[in-house]
Amino acid sequence: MPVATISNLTVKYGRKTAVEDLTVDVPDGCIGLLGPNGAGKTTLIKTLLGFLKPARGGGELLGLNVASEGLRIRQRIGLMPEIDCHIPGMNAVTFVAYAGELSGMPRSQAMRRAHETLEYCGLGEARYRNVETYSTGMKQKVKLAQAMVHGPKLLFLDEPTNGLDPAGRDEMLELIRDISHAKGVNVIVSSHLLPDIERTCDHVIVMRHGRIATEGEVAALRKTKGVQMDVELRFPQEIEAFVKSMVLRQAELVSTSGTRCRVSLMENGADPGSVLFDAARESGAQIRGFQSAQRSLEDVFLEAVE
Amino acid sequence: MSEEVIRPPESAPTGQSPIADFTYRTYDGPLYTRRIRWWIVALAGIRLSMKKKGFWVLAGLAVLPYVITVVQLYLQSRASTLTGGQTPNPLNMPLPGQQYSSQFFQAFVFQAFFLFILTLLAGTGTIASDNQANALQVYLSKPITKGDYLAGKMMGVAIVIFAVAFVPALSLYAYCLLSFVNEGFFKNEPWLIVRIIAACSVPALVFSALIVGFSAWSKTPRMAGAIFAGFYFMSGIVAGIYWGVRYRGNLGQGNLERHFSVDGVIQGLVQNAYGVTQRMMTGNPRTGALEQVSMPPPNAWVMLALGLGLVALGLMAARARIRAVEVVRG
Repeated sequence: MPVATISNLTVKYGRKTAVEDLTVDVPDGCIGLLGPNGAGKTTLIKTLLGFLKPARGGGELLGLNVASEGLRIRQRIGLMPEIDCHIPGMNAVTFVAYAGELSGMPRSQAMRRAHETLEYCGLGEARYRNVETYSTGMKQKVKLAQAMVHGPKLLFLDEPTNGLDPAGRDEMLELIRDISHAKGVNVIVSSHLLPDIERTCDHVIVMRHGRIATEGEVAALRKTKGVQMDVELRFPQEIEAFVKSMVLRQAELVSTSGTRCRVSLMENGADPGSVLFDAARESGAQIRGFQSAQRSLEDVFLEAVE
Repeated sequence: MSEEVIRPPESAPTGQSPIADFTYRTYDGPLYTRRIRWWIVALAGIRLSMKKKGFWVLAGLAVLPYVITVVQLYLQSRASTLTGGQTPNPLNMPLPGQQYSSQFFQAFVFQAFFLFILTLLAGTGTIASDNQANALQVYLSKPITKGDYLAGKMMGVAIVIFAVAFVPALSLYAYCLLSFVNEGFFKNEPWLIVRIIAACSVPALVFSALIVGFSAWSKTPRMAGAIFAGFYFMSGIVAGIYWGVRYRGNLGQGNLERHFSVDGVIQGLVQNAYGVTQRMMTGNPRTGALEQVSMPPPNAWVMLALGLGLVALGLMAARARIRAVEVVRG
């Protein structure tokens, strides 16, 4: 069942159209929202949260109308904003419990959940410290905790790894993956860091000029056209002869890098492994490994927005 | 209280969790969509104010005028004994039907400055600190509206000011009730408790609305406090100079113009609430002699309009500044 259903959505700022005739079903799971600056991601999320009224069309988020049920939507979702934000003068427990209360939780439940959520986010030891004294990584975690304290059905994470060192980034991505894959919370991640999306999301939506440029399962989008194989040889010098043998077998060279090369084979039903080994035997090259080629998410993104 | 409650299914556990369980679990408890969502914001503001030492110092100082009034009332009640039958100072003699109201009003006039300082302490950071810490992103991503946020911030300050003004006044009322009920306390001024509530509400509403307005337009609490204090004092100085220059021959006149400042509006409204006529001594420029002039309450409707105008100004300024959350950059 889709988390959000958007149909023919048009959102305007005065005369400027930010989102135009957008139709998409956002599936459940972990979704990556990608797009260059000005693509309409902000506007789309603002509209989904009920801050902007659509000029035309509309949609539903968690079964609620985005145009008229903004408050109820915001009760069921959690938002982790991009920039540093906290309630001044509060320690982490008070802050997260307060966020729970603002979401409608009874005070006692909010306090209990604040402790649990902070513990889960790895801030158990520091929860009585004032948030102003936190490092960037801890602030990111407390933002995540305040977004999920009330048990939202959907989390919007905006640049969740912003400003984090490699270890902190790793921890955050693990948390996101755990939330979405082990805890059953739907997550929409907006990030410019494609490796982050690649690591956490199952599905991506790429926007461009207020429209959907491409969308789908990450695995499906990364599949290459035709039969393409990545081959690793023993020495770089072997590549030239190997490619010549492959060309004789009606294959094409796609790219090379060091001892690796990607070749596109003809779709004639022949076993790719046999073709590769035949070519290697003929050229005297030694194959160290091979696998079906996959495009990176960056390739998918660039192809969609160019 | 609740508009809508999302309740868990009958079988879902809602009880206490085992302490050792650190795993995040789905929350199955109730979620309320409250009609008075602003109350949560207000309560947080009140708690933050009460955590400050300055709050308790100012609350203590704000009691002093009422303590002095208790002593004064006590001495007046014993005046015939203490002065051996001589009449007390005529300046302290209130007009008929104002014996206690005038005491409450005088105490308020002295207390007003502490309320102003308290406003600076409790109010300057209300929205300015949120601006500094980008807290609006947190607030407006929750199920509350701009109006809820603003009302909560304002009431968080207003309730603090009201409580500090009202508690000592109520204590004085209780003292009078215990001491002077046989001397016509109820009979002469039956609506005094209502007047006290109205009088204490005036500085609470005017100060809180103004400080919220100034705070919303500032990035730091210090800046908000400086601008608010500047506005408060400058309006008083300008109104005072205008009154002094225009009516220097007879300071008993120009009673309305004298109140064209933040402090003046508050005092004018409180004077109307208590319904007392002030007496003050002025020098007669022709004869050089001291004269006693009576200052009745300024026109209530004009004062009310000015008071509401200040409240509206503060709230509109704040509302114009508070914007919905910026979700994603780019």
